[in-house]
Amino acid sequence: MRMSNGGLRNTWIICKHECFKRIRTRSFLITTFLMPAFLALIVGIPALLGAQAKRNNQRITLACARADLAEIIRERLEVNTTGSYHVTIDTDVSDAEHQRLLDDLKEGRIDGFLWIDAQSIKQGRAIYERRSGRDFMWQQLVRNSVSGGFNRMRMADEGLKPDQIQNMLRGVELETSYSGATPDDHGRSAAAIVTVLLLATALFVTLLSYGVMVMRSVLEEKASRVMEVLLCAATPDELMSGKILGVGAVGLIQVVIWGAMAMVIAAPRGAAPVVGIRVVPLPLMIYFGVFYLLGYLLYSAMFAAVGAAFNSTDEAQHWTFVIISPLIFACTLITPVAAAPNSTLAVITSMIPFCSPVLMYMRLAVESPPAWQIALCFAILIAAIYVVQRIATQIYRVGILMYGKHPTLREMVKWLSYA
Amino acid sequence: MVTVELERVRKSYDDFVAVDDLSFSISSHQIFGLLGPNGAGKTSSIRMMIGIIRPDAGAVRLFGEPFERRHLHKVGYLPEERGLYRKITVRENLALLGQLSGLTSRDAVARARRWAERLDIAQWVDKRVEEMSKGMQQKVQFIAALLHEPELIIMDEPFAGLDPINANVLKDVILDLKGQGRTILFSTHRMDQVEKLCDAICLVNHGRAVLQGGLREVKAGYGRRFVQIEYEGDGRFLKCPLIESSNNYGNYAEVKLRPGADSQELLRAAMCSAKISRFEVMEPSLEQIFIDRVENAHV
Repeated sequence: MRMSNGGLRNTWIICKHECFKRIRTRSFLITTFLMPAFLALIVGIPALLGAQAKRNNQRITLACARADLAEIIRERLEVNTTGSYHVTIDTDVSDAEHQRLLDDLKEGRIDGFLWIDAQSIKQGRAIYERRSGRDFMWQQLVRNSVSGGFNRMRMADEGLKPDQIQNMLRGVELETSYSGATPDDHGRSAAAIVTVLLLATALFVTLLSYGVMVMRSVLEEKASRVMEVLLCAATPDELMSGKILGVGAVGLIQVVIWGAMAMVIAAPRGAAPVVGIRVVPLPLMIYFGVFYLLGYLLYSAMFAAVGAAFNSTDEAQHWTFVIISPLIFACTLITPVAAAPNSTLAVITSMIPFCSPVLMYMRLAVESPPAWQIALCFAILIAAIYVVQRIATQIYRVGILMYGKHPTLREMVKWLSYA
Repeated sequence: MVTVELERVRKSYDDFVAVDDLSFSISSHQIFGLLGPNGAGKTSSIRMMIGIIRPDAGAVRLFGEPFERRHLHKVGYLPEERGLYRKITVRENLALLGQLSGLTSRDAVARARRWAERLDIAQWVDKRVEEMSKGMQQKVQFIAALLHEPELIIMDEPFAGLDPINANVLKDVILDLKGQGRTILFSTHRMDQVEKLCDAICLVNHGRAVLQGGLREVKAGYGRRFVQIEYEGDGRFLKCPLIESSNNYGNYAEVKLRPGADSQELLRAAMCSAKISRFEVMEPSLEQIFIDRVENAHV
């Protein structure tokens, strides 16, 4: 951005004004402090409920025609549910017993029962009766336990010894290692990748919401006609850069507050992925900050130009979509890029400046791309910011004084040639 | 000394020529009226004076030097399109605009309070702009233009939307500023105020200057060809060939004589057909000159 004499001073004054004006508003306080609390509530309540459910001892009766099978399944169940299920074995599989168990279930004396009569054993099936369908999360565990039990029983019936069975069913431990790994790589656990995915989404949301904020702010200055008063004292370049930096500072403050809150919340537990900032290594956090700033500078300039060219949010609406579409495109590629961070698709798309803040960040999170690619990505991104800012400033300079009908793309291109 | 000088300035937007070869100068300590009908190029000319837009050709000089942005700290501007940030207080608005004009925030607020007291809006300083009436917002805007004690004050339609009492307050402030040696430019199409306040004028139409100079000279140059007549009886004397045009109200008429016509001859002719109670030969009003020039241009 070009500055006149005293331009930095004006930019600074406008930046301060834009930043403080927003920080004091109720909506800033609400989004900064209440939104995370709300999100924590949404994420936290089911987790708490889940924990509650886990603590509750579930009384399960296991009615099975074969005592040895019943014993294996009971053991598997108690292990798989980490002791939440208290299993009572019942070898009576008569119809009367079935009716009695149904009554017990109805009266709340038990929480569920498994029914495996001789017929079921032959067919390889079991019936699991529950009072309600609320514990669907446990169903998979019950299924695994029952089929594990059946497998062991069948092997024993085939004459295998218990230690042979144990040996056959032993699982495989998969250890992942990264060639050329740096000490940071140890932080790249599955949990870290989940957090990175969340951070990439946060990057998208903040780029979008603060870009739109810049656009609305310009539209408001145009509508309230304060623009011309400002223009006598400051150049359009100073106004635009001051506004972009001021709004960006608000965004940065908000992100820092959220980060700090997340760390405070995560500190005692260090578990839940939403608040698991602790598992993201520091270099990645720095990359997040850098990509946020560069991405914001790129996108906010375009939003400022659109704000200046039009007279109302309605008019600017479809251009907003045009501006964010590369960002949406980048977000749809997050998963494939995370899955194959060195594929041609990942390398090429992470070099496109409109996508790189999200995609290169994603690649950096999953592996270490070659240094030259990182350098090239930054070089392209910075060059793109320069070009976009120049074009945006020119559209802004002409647009802020244009009222009346909204311009066509051709007219905006023509503005680029105005003195 | 000359405070503002426009030399053969031209500005066009695509095919539309907003300002065409316009030249005029404003001497220091003057009140200067930039006049013209809507769309004549007044606002474009002013915007070029303060660097909001750049001329396609010609030169703008402020305080004797080619235009530079640093001069703007000595310029106060009240644009035609008034605007303030509506959601923040008067004090915050004025602190921001004062700082952009080179003051410190503290200085700007102190000055804003003094002006607010003078203009009778002191109790509104800590209120949000959106809570104020339009007239009061206008006063805030006026303060914003004067906060940094500019040497040159440019006001685009300063009286628009003001009630007579507030218009009078504003007039007093303008005269006071002139007394302090400031140069004031106002652009308007309200001729009555220009006539009372201005020392010099420039009348623009279709982007060109059609008349300019000191107010007295402009009027004198136009000649004493205007006569006001109060009469009783037959008004047929108004048809006499001495008269170029007339505006007859029944027992009162405003008459423009043909060039070279003798007003005494008209008086004699009028007395033949009517009883004359007043016959006054006058300088033209600025409004008459304005209409005359602008309408002639259309013919």
